[in-house]
Amino acid sequence: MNARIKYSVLLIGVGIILAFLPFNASLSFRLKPSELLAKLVADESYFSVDQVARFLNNEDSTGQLIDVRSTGQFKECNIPGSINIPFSDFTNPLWEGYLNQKEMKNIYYGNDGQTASYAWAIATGLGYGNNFVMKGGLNEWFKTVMLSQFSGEKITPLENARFENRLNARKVFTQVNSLPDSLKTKYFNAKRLIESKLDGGCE
Amino acid sequence: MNQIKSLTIVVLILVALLILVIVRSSDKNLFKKEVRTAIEATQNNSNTISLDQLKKQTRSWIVVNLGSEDLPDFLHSENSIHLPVENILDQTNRKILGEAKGDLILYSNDEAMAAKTWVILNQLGFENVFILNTGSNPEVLKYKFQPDTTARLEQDSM
Amino acid sequence: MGPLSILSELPEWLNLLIAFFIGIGFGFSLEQAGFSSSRKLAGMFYGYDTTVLKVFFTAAIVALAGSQLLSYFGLLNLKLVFVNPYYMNSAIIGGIIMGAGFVMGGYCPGTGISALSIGKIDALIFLIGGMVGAFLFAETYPYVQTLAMENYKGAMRIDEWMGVSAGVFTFLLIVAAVALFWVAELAEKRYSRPEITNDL
Repeated sequence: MNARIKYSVLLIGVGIILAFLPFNASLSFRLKPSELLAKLVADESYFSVDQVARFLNNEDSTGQLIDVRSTGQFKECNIPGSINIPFSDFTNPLWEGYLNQKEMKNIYYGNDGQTASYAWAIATGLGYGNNFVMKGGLNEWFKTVMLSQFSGEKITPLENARFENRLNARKVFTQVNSLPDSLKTKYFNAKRLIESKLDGGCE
Repeated sequence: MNQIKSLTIVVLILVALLILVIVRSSDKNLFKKEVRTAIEATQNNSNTISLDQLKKQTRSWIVVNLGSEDLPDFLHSENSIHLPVENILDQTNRKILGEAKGDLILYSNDEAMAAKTWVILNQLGFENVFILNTGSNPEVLKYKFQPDTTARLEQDSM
Repeated sequence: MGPLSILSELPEWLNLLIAFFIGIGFGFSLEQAGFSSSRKLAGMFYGYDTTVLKVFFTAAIVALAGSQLLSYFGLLNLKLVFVNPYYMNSAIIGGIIMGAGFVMGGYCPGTGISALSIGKIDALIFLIGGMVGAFLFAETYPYVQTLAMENYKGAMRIDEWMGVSAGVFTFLLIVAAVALFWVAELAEKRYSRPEITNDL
């Protein structure tokens, strides 16, 4: 029989199967449930607010803070150096360059721990590496970094270092967030370098 | 007849493909939901439930204790099961979750753990899973930032 | 993650090596299919030889169906596949220019290189012309930039625009392709030019 007819039948058959698949171009998890659960149980995916404060003070570029709150909340105040990826917009392909990369640790935070944990689970489930959550979110940040005071008689060197770290982070946080809105926007835009990814080609 | 015979190989390929597809689509050990469904379900905290709401709820529900410790006293113990999070995907446990009547209310004293588990269960296709908020609404900033109006960022740090 | 998802994790030299072998295979098949002949490609326009349509359209639907199947079985991450952003004006104007150049020169860039490799002088001139054109475009880009950037639609996909699933779209495209092949073969009979096709 004519080879053309064979190929045509084969292709149309495959097409019919594809047409019935629940396949879609949108995102679903790539990890197996057991793999994701193993990462969840491993409990290695947290940074404390003190560690984040140290990142901030050292201008450490190995970590990227990602604020998953809404844009309005982000504008009100955020940890300097963080980028805003609202959780409701998390699957927007625009963010994929930030989320799916191997160079930096992505540290998610929200007002508390919940939304950041959703973001962690989704990013990890999608197979992205290097996902962390800032434990306790901004509530913990305010409680520990912004408002904690040393009380006691004698300060140990270790505690002294910790409080100095908090104090410095507090200063940067207050300074940057007190900027007028126009300057703030400028500051954020300067941070926002969109790396162009792969380039298309032709035959 | 002859024509159909020469199509045998094509039909064989298609049948093999069909079998593979059916096997794959009936595999329970895979995530099949779209990520978007999880994100949509979390909007306005509609996937969480407070203690008060739970007490008023007329639909049947069961508390799933994910932690290693016992439930705190304020939760009814007769309406709960204890499934430590690391074993939640074991076959027997998954069967228990699947056959449970009513809403599944996830409880853990570690809210991050409950949130992550919720995402896993949601993406596995479990409906009516909620996270129990024991405190106030957890995703509200309890503090207000006080801007320092005298502060100016130095030029070089821009 | 399956075997086809790890290309980005390979060292760069290995990536380039793989690209090299794929390139050899591509050039070899182009040459073998007779695409290094400008008459074959021009035949598409005049209707006496529609191999170009059949080959490239078949390649497209096989790749489409294959990548979707691989993705369904978790072997290929389609999210990593780059979708060309759609600049409507550029696509239309560029398409017209490219089509005109295609039928006048008898080559597209890929087949031009494959023809050059077997020593065709017209292909050499064609490629030089292409380079000059690219150079001129780059130099005059500021003048045409507004025109080129107009009607930007982002990374658009036909299946999303039509509101059907990707699988349904693939099926429709396959049916359209088979129908088109049938029309093309009719055209080949109607406009046949045996004095040309017998040489090819």
